[in-house]
Amino acid sequence: MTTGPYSDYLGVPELLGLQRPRTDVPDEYLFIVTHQALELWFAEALHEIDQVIDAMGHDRLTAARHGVRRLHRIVRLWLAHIDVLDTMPAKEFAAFRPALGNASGLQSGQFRELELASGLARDGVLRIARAVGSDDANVRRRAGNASLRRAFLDLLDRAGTTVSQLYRPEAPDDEVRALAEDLVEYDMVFSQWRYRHYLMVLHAIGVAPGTAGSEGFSYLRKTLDKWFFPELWSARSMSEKPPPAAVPLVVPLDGSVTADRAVLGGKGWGLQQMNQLGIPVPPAFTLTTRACEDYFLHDRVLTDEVWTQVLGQLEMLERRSGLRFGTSPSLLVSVRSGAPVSMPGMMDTILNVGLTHASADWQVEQLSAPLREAFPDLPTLVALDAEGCRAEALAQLRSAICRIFDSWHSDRARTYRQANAIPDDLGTAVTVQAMVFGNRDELSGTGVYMTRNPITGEAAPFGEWLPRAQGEDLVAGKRTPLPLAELSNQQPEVYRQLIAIGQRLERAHRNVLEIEFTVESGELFLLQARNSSSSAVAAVHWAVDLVHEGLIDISEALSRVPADWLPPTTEDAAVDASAVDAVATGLGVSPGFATGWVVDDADEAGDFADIGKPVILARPTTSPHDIHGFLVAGAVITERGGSTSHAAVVSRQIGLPCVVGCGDGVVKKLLGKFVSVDGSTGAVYEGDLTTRRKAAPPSPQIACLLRWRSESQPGEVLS
Amino acid sequence: MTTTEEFDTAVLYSLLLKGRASTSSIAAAIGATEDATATLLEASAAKGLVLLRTGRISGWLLTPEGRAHVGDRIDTEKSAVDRATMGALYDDEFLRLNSRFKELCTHWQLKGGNVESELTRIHEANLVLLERFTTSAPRFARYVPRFVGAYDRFSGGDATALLQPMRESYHDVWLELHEDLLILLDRQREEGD
Repeated sequence: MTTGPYSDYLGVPELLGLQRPRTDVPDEYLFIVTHQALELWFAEALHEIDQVIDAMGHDRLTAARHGVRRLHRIVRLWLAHIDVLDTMPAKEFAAFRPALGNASGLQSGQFRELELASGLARDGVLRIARAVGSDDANVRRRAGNASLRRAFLDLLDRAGTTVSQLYRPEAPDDEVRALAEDLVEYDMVFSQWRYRHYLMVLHAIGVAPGTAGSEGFSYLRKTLDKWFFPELWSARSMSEKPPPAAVPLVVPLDGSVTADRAVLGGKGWGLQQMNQLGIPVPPAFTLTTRACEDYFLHDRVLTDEVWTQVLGQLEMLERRSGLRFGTSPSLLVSVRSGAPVSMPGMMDTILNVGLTHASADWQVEQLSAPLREAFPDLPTLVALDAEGCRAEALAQLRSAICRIFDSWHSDRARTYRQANAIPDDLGTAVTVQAMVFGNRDELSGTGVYMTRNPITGEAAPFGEWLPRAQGEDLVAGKRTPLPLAELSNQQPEVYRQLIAIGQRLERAHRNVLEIEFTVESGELFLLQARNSSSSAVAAVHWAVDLVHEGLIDISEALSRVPADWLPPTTEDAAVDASAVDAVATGLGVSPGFATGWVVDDADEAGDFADIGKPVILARPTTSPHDIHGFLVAGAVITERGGSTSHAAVVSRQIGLPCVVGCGDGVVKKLLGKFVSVDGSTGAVYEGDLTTRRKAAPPSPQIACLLRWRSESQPGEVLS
Repeated sequence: MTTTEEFDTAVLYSLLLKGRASTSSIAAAIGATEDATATLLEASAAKGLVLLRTGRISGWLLTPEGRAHVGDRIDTEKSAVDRATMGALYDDEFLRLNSRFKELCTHWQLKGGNVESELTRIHEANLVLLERFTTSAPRFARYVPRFVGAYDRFSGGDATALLQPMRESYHDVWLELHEDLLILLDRQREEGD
């Protein structure tokens, strides 16, 4: 054994005389050294804590932070000790464990001191200490002293602030908050220690987690959830959400207030965005998700506070639309949910709210049935006097709002959220919007405008216009719409405004858009804008054009075209329309070119196919008993229907050229003739025009995309 | 459905809707085994009501006699069911759901987006609606397992179960249900269909 100044100073001989294994098991020595080393480090940590508490007591923040960060490193060092001990096999430990007698790690008085000095509640720690016989004088003394937690709270008190103020979004990022964050990190590494220690015990004793029965285990497991600074954790997590009081209950969507998507819901947020771009949308306001929370907080009652604000906003809608709710001329509103995702059981939309006998006759006539259905429990369209009508309309509005809130907690919505891990407390916003009527007069109508052609990709407006109709009529396909260009003949100023808005939206979204709009008495309103769907060729054209217009970069353009897309071959080439007149034209809904004899019966198509004659099936509309004819025909033509018709859907599914909506009488006109059908352009020609097709060279856009694509490939190495 | 006669009618009715169909697809539609269905079809063929076509698209179809026979059955059914209630359901609910379903199909084809949540909503609404149709005409209950089957196959990853024609896809069953309602209620297909 060495002696000299070094060993004297450190007491090395004494230190090395303190390891006294009780068995011959070799690993017992490691076990003792590790625990002794840990006890030494516990002593050091307590020493540091005393320094930090002292520094905090004198408002010396830099010194306090320095000490806490040193504590981080010390605790991390403990973890490393356990890494070594983990190499001890369970059977080695089993061999000397009986010799430990009643000795247990739980009895470490210094560890209790660490818990107390850091800030754990005194009573709990002392109870454990007494239970395991380690409530010695040191532990009891610690229990009476200030802890890190207490010292920090006192410091905040002196600084005239609180934990929650510290974590307000507007609070400065100063030294005090930095110290708070240091303390939180200390809590984290200490918790790591607890967990690491728990794992070591499981490992050394050789039991599976969860099956460990001894009180020691269950105690260790419970300690995993002990924290020194609970108020810091809580304030931090609150700070990520805006404090509840800052969120308004009802928000006008006129650009005067801006709020987050989480507060406004998707619908309200989208309208807010459109307003900010200066795009005309029907006036609206939103009951925020906080109003939803408030509603459930008050046992499903819309409080007076919320309702008063709703009435205030309703007045704004009346002023902006020039109509009156529940009186004449009548303002009707839609009430829509703003749930973050659409989910089963959620009520989506209630339309025509506010319809009463005070409304215009045509409105009452057309809209009363669905509205009565929407409010089975409410006297609807009963009142005949002015006062009664107004009351009726307000009752509808109140009921509609409540029903959308209620549907958030419907069983099906809840089940859906559970299955999809959507938190229950998100809540839904409700957006109330003035309705506009495209069927009001001859200067009204509805349409869909795609900012570029979704079939050819041409950078020209494309879409449908249906005069004197509501949006539902367009979707239902009950009437065949006119091409969008018709709007420019009928209402040139509205058309110009629409196109200008489309261009502005394209720039904002950096994408081609599909815009639903309504014109009411010559005034344009946008209802919805979303990214447009397209054919593959159109996707290529759009992507390249958008790059050249400076809206997207080349890698974005490449990502917008499916990686396996290849340019069309001559087989897809279209008939040169300038060279020959079509015998019929409709909407090309499924591309491709085919020739054959026209029949109007699926069975007959089958007969033709059986003898190897090419056949084209022409039908007024499509029903299921036509479908087997689709499987043998070269192409399908219908008299009625649009791009969502059954014929279109089935044809696209099986890759069959299809032209729909060719007009009444076409079947009779074409029956028995040999025709050529171009499913891209929607043209039907008499005769076989296979050779008249213009094998157009690839467009500049296609050539450009192919070049970018080859340039983006990693260089191939020649072997 | 218990008696042979009811099965018999179901077979003929199914053929009326489908136009031409294989034994297995009729079996699926009426909820009987393929063997039993084949027996029924052969018996009807012996009476001259149906015949088996071969060729590129082979299958059973109704003869003019078969068509007249099933026409009589439909007239009987028309007088038995509550057509006013069913008609109201058709106008108010089915047509709206029909538009949504077709939109969904188009969206899925053109955009290739995720349609599962919308399909789930439509499917759930559809099942509720079928239950109400069934109150008036119990036979409509047979659509339920067919829609559920197609829905489950689609949810299970079989992309053809939504739209592929003549494969008992959701769209196939939908088209039949629609045709069934049109015939029973003496309605015409809407223009956009």
